[in-house]
Amino acid sequence: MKSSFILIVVISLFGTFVKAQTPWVVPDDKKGLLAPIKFSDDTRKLGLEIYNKTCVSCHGHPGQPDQAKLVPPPADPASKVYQQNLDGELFYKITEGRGLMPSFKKMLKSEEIWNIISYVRTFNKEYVQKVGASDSSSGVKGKVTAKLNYTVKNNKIEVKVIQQINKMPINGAKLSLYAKRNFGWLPLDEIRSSNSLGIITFNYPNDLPGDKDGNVNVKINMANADGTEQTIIDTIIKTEVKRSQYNLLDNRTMWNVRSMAPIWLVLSYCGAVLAAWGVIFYIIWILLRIRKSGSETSN
Amino acid sequence: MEDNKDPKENKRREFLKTLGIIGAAGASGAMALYFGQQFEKIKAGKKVRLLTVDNKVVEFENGELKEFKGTTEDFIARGREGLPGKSWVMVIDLAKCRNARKCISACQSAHHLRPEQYHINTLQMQDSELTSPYFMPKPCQHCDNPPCVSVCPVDATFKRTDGPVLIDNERCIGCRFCIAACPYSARIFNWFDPKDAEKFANDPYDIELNVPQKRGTVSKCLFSADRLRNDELPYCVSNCPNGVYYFGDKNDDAVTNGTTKETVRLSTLLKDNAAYRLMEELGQEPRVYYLPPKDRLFPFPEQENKNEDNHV
Repeated sequence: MKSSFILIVVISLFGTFVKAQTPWVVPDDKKGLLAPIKFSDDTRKLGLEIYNKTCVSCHGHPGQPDQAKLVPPPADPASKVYQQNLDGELFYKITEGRGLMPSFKKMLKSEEIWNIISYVRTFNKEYVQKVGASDSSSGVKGKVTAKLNYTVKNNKIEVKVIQQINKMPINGAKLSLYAKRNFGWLPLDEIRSSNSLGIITFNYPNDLPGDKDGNVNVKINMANADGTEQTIIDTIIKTEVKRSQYNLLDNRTMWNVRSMAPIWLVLSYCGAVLAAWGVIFYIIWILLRIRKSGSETSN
Repeated sequence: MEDNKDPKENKRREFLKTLGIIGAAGASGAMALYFGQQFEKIKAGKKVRLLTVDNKVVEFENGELKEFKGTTEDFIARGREGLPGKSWVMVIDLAKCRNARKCISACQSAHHLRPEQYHINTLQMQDSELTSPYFMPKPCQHCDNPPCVSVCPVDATFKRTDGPVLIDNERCIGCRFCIAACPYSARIFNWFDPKDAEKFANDPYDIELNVPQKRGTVSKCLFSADRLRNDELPYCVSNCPNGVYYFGDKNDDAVTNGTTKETVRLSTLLKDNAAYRLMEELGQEPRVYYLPPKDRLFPFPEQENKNEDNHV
């Protein structure tokens, strides 16, 4: 009775889980996005390499029924349903992710995602590529220069973005701040837009450790129209928070390593061993003396 | 007197001359023999180490030049020292694990383990009758106060300054005290010849990878110390398809997700998700943190899908 009740609960939960998967709607402005590069054998080859690294574990090999058994099931890239997606829709779904499908925004560059799309399109014979304009990949047209100003006192980072050509400040550029950590870039503040003077002020955390001198490598990324980012500043700032230089093996006694053993332990151990040997030799000496005196009296 | 001196001097000169000739002949003969031997070795397909003109050490074997990675002694000397200034930690998000077992297969292939040997395994957990079951990946916890290290009688297993607990198979005598001391059952024993034993028999022993494995010694999870040396995430972390693992430097206060490569503040992640460590009460200070299996991304599989055989 109890188990059947649990089963019903599980099944109903399962049902809601499946139901909750509404069709994946891509915003209209992202749908029409086109690859800035012409798909070629080179892009397909690169795409295959990235596909085998990042996609194959769930989506399997296109055209073969070896997709991971998940709910909802990952789509086979060779299937019709998959290929009905426009290039922009595929790009959006790969960059943003949903549920079990992870977001690849932080993991892959925009060219790499286009390479994957160029590879999976080889399974659609009717596909004809439309190439987008090359400058559509950037939200801000033309080259951008930026200046960074960090003040230790109030922990603010001020950034000014201007057009490189006419030195005009850029209004509404979306910027994000990152700090370099061992395996990647840590986002520090929310994405902020520049004001009419082209200035953005980020809050810098007052407890983020730098290196042993307090230096932190920070970068500022600007959002592109296709949802990816480009780095406009990569610099080192000097903060007041220094890395703790605590050695794990200091102040600890690991008795199996002689060099780590405390002197009192070494002395007391050696003393105990010597004392034990001393007692044994003393007894042997006494026994010898008894034997000697015995043999003398019998003579 | 003078007459007597001359022949003596002549004799000495002659003696020195012959000695010089014999010495030179001997040296050149020895050199010829040495190079002849090297040539014979090359012909016989044995390994010969050579220095190239651009000061790189290469190994010549079976008519092929290979990059020389280092000797067992080099690896051991290097592996005993921790990476300066680092303090590695792992965070495992139980809500995301769906038992894909990619971490296990990546680990087993990197460390030449047989399919029944685990440095990391996903266990099927249910804490009590009414609570929800979940999968729990369990690597070595790399304790800061490791009982396995304290009980080793030969200094084979050791704690490094950057966190990982490693093992030196060249010193291990196979007493298995460490297996008995570990409360997490993280260690395994090579009862049989390791996988592909003949294939890797002549390779130098890499202490940071514990490869080639040796019969009669203990093996364990190494936090992929060889990958960390190259600033790469561990094998299990980077091969997880579901974003279960975070790995990073505690001194940086940041961990990076192996799947999404997203970097987050370690302190915030642990605080916001009520993270815990296994068997905290033992005071061993493990380096692996767990995030509770809340808001799970998938339902726990029905009985028939559970893949029972794989859970030891």
